[in-house]
Formats: sequence, structure tokens, C-alpha cells
Amino acid sequence: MGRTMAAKIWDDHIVAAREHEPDLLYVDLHLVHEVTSPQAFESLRLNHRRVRRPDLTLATMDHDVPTRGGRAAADELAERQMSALEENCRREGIRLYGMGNARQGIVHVIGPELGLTQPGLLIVCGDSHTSTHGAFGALALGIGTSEVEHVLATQCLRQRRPKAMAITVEGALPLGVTAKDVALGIIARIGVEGGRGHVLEYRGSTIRGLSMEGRMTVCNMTIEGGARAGVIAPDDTTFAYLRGREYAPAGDQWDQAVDRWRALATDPDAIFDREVSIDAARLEPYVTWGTNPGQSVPVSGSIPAPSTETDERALQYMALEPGTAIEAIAIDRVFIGSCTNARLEDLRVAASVIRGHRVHPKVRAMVVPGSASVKRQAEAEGLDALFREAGFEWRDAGCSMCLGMNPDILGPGERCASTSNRNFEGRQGSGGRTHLVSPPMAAAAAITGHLVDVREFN
Amino acid sequence: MEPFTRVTGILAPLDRVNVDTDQIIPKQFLKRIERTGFGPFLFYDWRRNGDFILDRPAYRGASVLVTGANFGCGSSREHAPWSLLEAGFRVVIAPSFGDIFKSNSFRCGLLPVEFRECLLNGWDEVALTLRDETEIARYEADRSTELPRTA
Ligand code: SF4
Repeated sequence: MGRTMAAKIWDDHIVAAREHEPDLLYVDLHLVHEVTSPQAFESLRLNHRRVRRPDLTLATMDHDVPTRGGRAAADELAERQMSALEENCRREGIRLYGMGNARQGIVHVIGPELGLTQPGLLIVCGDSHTSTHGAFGALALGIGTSEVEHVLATQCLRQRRPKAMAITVEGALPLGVTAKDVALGIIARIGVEGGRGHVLEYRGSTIRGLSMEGRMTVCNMTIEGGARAGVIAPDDTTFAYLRGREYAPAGDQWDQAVDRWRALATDPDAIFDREVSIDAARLEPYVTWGTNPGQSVPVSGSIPAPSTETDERALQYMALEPGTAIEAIAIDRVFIGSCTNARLEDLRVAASVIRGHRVHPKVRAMVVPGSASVKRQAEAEGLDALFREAGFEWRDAGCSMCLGMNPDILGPGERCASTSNRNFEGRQGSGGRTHLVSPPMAAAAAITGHLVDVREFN
Repeated sequence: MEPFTRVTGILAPLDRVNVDTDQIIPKQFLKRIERTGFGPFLFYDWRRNGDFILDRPAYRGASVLVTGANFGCGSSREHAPWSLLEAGFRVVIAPSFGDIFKSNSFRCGLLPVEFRECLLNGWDEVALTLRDETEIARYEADRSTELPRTA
């Protein structure tokens, strides 16, 4: 019987498999950042161990870097984490793209952009949105700090084989519907726990039609549907994106690599444990109204009546009344950023919406590019000027208000249209209220001062 | 079912692995049609041989059983957790459990707590994995040199 793509990659990485025990898997690429690694390095040191494969490890700083004012603007604790990472990388010989480096950025943005994220690889990072890298047909898993230590020391990971779920999306995306809406639509369908224990494989004509940026957005949100990893079969779009990137294979090796990558796709007779089909024609631009990413409605809709205690609690936190039209909800802040939606394509789409408009006087809006490279490219295209002239703040790369570990946070009660991935209570700042949307929807909201249907905007 | 909030009591060790459900409650006692009446026959064969650890005065009335891997393997008889419960146990701590025993336990109010072997032996997971050094080295030797490197 045929195998799924995830199963093929899994089998390729088995170092040891014993009955009743999790498999021991080899890790091809370990991405490290400042927040989930210090205790791992510390524990290595205490146990007199070294990093086994610094040459398969790459570090960056993203979670708590300030996005303006440079490193001097970092608070004391952030500065301590950054210097600890520098010290740990120096001692262990790990390449670090730290603050100020031209290749610095959100870990899930730089891996792909450097060409390190490649089909067929097993990639881990101490961060749940590692699922992003699955867009290239890599098996990419978020891990905890103890596992980070384990991978540093052994280059291996102990995991139980997950089940496989196919999510097939077919058809052309309606106007105004983006990859973000595909992701939110999938989560609305399967629920925030729906993917638990599975690797999701996104397939179908809609997925094949997405750019790499769009595919990354979809895979990024996999964890919000409860699954640890999501994959998309590599194809010509993938290869075109990778070709010529710094760490991508070149010359003869390129052709060999492409042959290898093509063989990764799920076999026609492979069987998934679960299958879900989605009709793209029925997707709309979505807005979350609650405090988990599954609580969303189409922008043309209204706040639903609560059906559970969780819903009630969410509505209370969000200060929303059932029946209120989504478009009637005024916002205070707009955040365009995060590993979900801060790549060049996202900024271009947002910029195309704001061209010729100004940010609403009551709204404070910011754009935080996903990496230093995205920032440079956007500036080369004049996007920064466009955003600035419209009244957006144009920041340096980092996670920023996606999780509010740096000074970029919402004030209590502030309502934000955000292109990030989590609308959890307090995520963007204590008491802050987050509505997850796509980049064009966030841009449109910045201009009108309320949530608005981008399809009717302009 | 008694709600599970806190268990305070004596902890009894049973230093054996693969304790199957036939040991926990032998087949001859399965003939009852009630859910009760199994307590006295818990570990019947072992108790009959005398000096069984759970019969020592120090462990009388124990409510927590600490034991070896794969506890409750074997048959699906739910009489096994029933007999433990009736004998006063609320919690079993072991490195692993038989699958069916585990799900039976949850259903009838016995809490199976998995306590990984590496913790019992004082190994951290890294040490455990490094016992596979030969396999790791072999995998690395076979691994394509064309895969990306960061340094
Ligand atoms: S941008 Fe947000 S979700 Fe992505 S890695 Fe940073 S904190 Fe995590």
C-alpha cells in the first residue's frame, strides 16, 4: 500500500524504532530563538554536554526584539535573553543571525527565505508555529524546551507516529479571499482540537494555486487547528521559490534534489485516517470574534449567539453583543505582521489596499515586516513610503505585537485588527482584544476605523 | 462515582513488571454479575502464597499502588480495576499500562498515572537517547552530504 508524504518523510528519518516506544527521528534542521532556548543550553552545560551538530542548527532573535530604536531599546530581560543566545551560540559554534544582522527575522520567515527550509527535511524549532515550514513539503514540528535540549545534544527527537488527515480544498478562491481565510475557514470547520494527533496534508486545486507565501500562511495556522504539523506536496511553485536561494542546492545538485523532492508526494493509493473536503467557492473573508481562532464568522455576518460557556466568556472578554454586525465593530489598532502574514506578498497586498487612503484618525496602525530582508525588499519597492504616508508606523523585523513580548502591546480594552494567528485573551497585551483577519482586511480596517468587508472597499 | 480531587493515603510498592489482569483478578472470580465483590480476590494467587507485600501491616489500607511497566496487560476484564478500587486503591502509578486497562480505569474511577521509566531510573531523556549512539552514528554516516548545512 502507498504511503502519505508525511509517512515517507517520517520513515526516512527513523534512527531507531522499538515496539511500545516512540520512534527516534533524526533532525535535519534545528531552528533556535532567544526565548525557548536559554534553559536548554544551561542544562546542556550542567550535564557537560555539547551541541552535536552546530552545522544543522541556526539561531535568530525574533520574539522579544524591539522593533524600533535598535537593541538599545530592549528591556533588561530581553537584553539578557539576547546576550545569552549570543554567548550560547558563540560557545557552541552555532550560526546566529542576531539583531542588526541582514538575515535576522522571525524564525519561520527566515528559514524559507534563506532556502534552508527544503522539501523532505525534518525541521524542529522551540515554537509551535514551526508548522509553517510544512508548506515546502518538510515535516516541521514545534517542540518544548526539554526537547530543544534533547535535539541540541543528540540531533534526534523522540516522537510517536501521528495519524494522517487530508484537507482537500478545491476550486478558485473568490475575490477578496486569501490564504489566511482558507486557514480560518479550515479551523472553523475542524475546530481548534480537530487536528490533534494528526499531520494535516493540505491538498486540492486551491492549495496548488497558492503562492509559497500563501501556503506558508495555511501551514502556519495548522497548530491553531490542534495539529502539530501540516504539509503540502512540493511542486514547480516550490522549486521556483527555492531556486537560487542562499542555502538551496545549486548546479547538478539542484536537479538531483528536484528529482528527490518530486518523489515525496503522497502515493495515489495511500490511505488517510481522516479526510475533510472544503469548497473554496464557499469561503469568505473571515473575522474572529472570540478568544480562539475557531471562533470566526464571515465579515458579512454578525456576532453569533453564544452556544457554550466558552462562547459567553469570549464575548464578555471581547465586549461584544450577539447580533452586532461585524462591520459595525470599531477598532483602535491595526497590526500587520507575524510569521502568519508578514512576508513581502502580504505587505504588497496590504499596500495595494491603502494606496490613496489614510489611516483613520482614531486608529494606530503598524506594519512589522517578518524579516530584515522583507523590510529591505519592501523599501526597495517603495512600500515603506506608501505605508508611512498613509499614517502607518513602519517598524523593524520581529514578532512584535503578535505576542507582545516587546514594547509593542495593546492597552487594556484596546481592540485590534491583526494579521497574526492567535486571539487568545491577553496575547497582544493584557486586556487587549484581537480580531484575526487577512492583510487586506487589516489594511481596510485601518482606513475605515472599523472592521470592513474588503470586497466592498474602494 | 467519587469525584477525584485529592487522594491522601498509604503508598504501596509492588515491584513487578507486566502484571497482567489474570494476576490482578484470576478468571475464577469473574463469574459474578455484580460490579462488586471482587476486592477480596485482588492478587488472589500471590496472596495465597503468603507474605505478599500488600498484606504486610505497613501497607494495609493503602490507596496508591506503585508498580512496574505494562501494568494491567492482558485481558480486557474491567474486573481488574474494579477489584483494585474495592480493595481501596484509587491511583496506580507505573511507567506504562496495558491500553485497555488504562481506558477501563478512567471509566470506573481508578487513576492510572504514567511515570516514565527514565524518571524511575534517574535518566534524563538525553541520556536515554544516547544509549542509541551507535544507531545515531550509523544514520549520520548514511545521511546525504547534500542536505543543507548552516555552518
Ligand atoms: S510571529 Fe508570533 S506566532 Fe510567529 S514565531 Fe513570533 S510570536 Fe510566534
